[in-house]
Amino acid sequence: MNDFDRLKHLLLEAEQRRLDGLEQGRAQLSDDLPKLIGQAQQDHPVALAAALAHPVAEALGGAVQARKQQLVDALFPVIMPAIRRSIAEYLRAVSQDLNQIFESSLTWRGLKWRLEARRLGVSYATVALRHSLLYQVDHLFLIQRESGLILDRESVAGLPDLDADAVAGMLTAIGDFVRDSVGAGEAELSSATVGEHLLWVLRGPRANLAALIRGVPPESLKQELIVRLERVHEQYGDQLGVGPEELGSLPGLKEALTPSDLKAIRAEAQVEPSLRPVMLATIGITVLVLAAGVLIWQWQQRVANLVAGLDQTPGLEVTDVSSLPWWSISLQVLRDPLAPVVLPLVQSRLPEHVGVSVREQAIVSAEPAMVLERMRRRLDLPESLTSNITSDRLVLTGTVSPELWRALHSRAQDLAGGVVLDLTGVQADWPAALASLGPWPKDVTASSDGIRTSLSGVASHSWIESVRVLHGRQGWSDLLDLSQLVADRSEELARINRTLRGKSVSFDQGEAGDGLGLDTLADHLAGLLPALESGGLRVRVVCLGLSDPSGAETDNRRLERERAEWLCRGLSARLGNRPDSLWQLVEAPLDLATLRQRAALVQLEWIDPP
Amino acid sequence: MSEFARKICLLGDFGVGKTSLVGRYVRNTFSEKYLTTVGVKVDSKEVAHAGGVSKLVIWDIAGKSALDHLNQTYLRGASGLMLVADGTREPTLRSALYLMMQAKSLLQDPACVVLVNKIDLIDRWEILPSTLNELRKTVPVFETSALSGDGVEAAFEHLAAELRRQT
Repeated sequence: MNDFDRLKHLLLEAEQRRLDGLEQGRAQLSDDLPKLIGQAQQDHPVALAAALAHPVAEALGGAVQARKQQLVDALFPVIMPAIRRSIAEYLRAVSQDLNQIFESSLTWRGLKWRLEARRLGVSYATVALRHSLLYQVDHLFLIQRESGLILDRESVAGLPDLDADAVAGMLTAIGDFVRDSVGAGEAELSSATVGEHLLWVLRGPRANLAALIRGVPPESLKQELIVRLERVHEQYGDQLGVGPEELGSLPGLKEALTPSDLKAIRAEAQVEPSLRPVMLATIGITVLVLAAGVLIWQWQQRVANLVAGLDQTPGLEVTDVSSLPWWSISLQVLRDPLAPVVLPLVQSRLPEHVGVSVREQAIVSAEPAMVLERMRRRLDLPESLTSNITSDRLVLTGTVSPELWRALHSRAQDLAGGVVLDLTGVQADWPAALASLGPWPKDVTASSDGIRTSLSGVASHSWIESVRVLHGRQGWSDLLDLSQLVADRSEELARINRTLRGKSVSFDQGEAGDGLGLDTLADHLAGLLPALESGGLRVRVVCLGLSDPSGAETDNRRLERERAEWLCRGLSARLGNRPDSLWQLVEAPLDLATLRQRAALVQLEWIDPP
Repeated sequence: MSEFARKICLLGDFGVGKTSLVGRYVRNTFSEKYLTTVGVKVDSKEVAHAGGVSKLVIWDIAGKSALDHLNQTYLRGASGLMLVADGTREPTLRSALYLMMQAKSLLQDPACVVLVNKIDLIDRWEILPSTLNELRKTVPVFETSALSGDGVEAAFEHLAAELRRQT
């Protein structure tokens, strides 16, 4: 150290020491600065914030200008979810507004959507938007933002061929043009209308997603696309920005760039043309046609049954039918005057609202039933007669009065139309005709040869006589033969015998002697016997003797025999010689045994009874 | 598709025939009015070459002698450049070379070809053959005619093959 240096050291030592201390403090400032800031944050936070506010803002501004892409890359995953949440909140508010609007509507479609919302357990707005916002994503391009080259594309099958590379390039160029010329480098082309398509361009740091959508897409589709784009960036963010030569050198990258969920959203976005309305319309029309067919078929069946019923009605013949199903019907009918009137018949078989028009034309029906009815009316046949007509023969069966029987036979000759009246089954009701004469004798039968009836058998003489009287008075000689009737004389004889008992001859007590009343009895018999024997029959006169209860039985028997012999002799003398017809009875018959009196009487008997 | 498409840009002065060259070569998807409105028209073409088939996405950038900001934006991501000059106008070659230099400063080692168009008017060319020969030492040069199609396909095939080699 020379003198000058020593002098400088002496003069400036304190100053040099102070400068060294300052230099040392400056050197340690970077080490102490975090500690000092932390200390200042604790001691003077407000003052520190105020002091740093301006320089930090300046620094951020400079960083945005200098490292824009780096900031975008850093903030994109943070900002986009926040933006998405904000948009979701906005859409939710819009949905609520729409909900209020839709709920106020009272359309049938609104009611149907409301039912569907209740069934699915979602809001009405969700269902309404789902039905209203019909769309289809026709093309989806994943475009490298830097070059405009297409990284992946998906298009709906069947659409016209599209030069996707050129389209992606032009979309990028137009986006750049808009941003550069219109947006002053800030604005982005995010959506545009291209003919019937809506173009959405979703921006990402390395790649854009462009969607060409037909229809009205919901905002939720954009949210889904944004999520997919973010996911692509998360998985392939660094690789998306490299040049195409590097992209091509990364095996499997291209396949990986076609994310399945991107395809899924595309498939979800595709709204297949619904056949439901067509099916419903087809089903509805089919049901209507079937219903109309069934109604027409039912009407035709009803008309057919009606016509068949009319045709089966004797005297009616339907010649023409025209109808408007279930509305009106018009009939043309041939009708026999004896057949029922058609109009009420038709009206009773159809609904009331159906208009019925009937035009009748009179005919003379040749149907058997009509011919029969016509004959019955003409012949004035009673209900007791059953009639049947076969071919040209009218067959009657049953019984009628003799007068009607005769009348039928006489009218049968006058029938016109070639109809033969068969009366073989018709019998004159002789029991009814002769009922006024008393009960029909049980042994009398009637037989007919088709014209005359012959009565045969045994009947009382009086009945036969009454019949004969009536027979003559009614002039039944051509109808009734009585020659086979045989009179039953026993009853007549019994009646006469009862009369003869009251004409007994009485004797004095104890002796046979002459009896009183013999002449009276003889006169009576004289008038009676010729009448009885007029038919060639012969009558035996039986004389009976009676006695009273007194006296011995043997004496009484003897007296009874003597009295009977006395009566026979007396009557024989008075009535002439009737040796074969007299008979002497010793003992009284049982039915006269109770007559215990002194008398003699006669009873008559048929010899060779008829 | 087994590989990704490559983006190439056509650059050149106004009226050199870029759009006619593209129209001769590719299927036109968009109208030329985009050139005057947006400043670019994009088409695509599959090109068969010795190395196989490549897909080129061709950005036809509106003719200018220098790249403005928007055109620079259009260049982003391009793998190849096609510089077009009009053989009948010598200044257009200089513009094309200037554009190439400008684009190369923006892109990372792009494949380049130079097309000197209008060979059908060879008798009116201002560009000397010696100039082209000198140029060929640094960049492939093709004489083309959008009118007859001469040289056009060869230029695109060459560029596609070059891009394929860069992979």
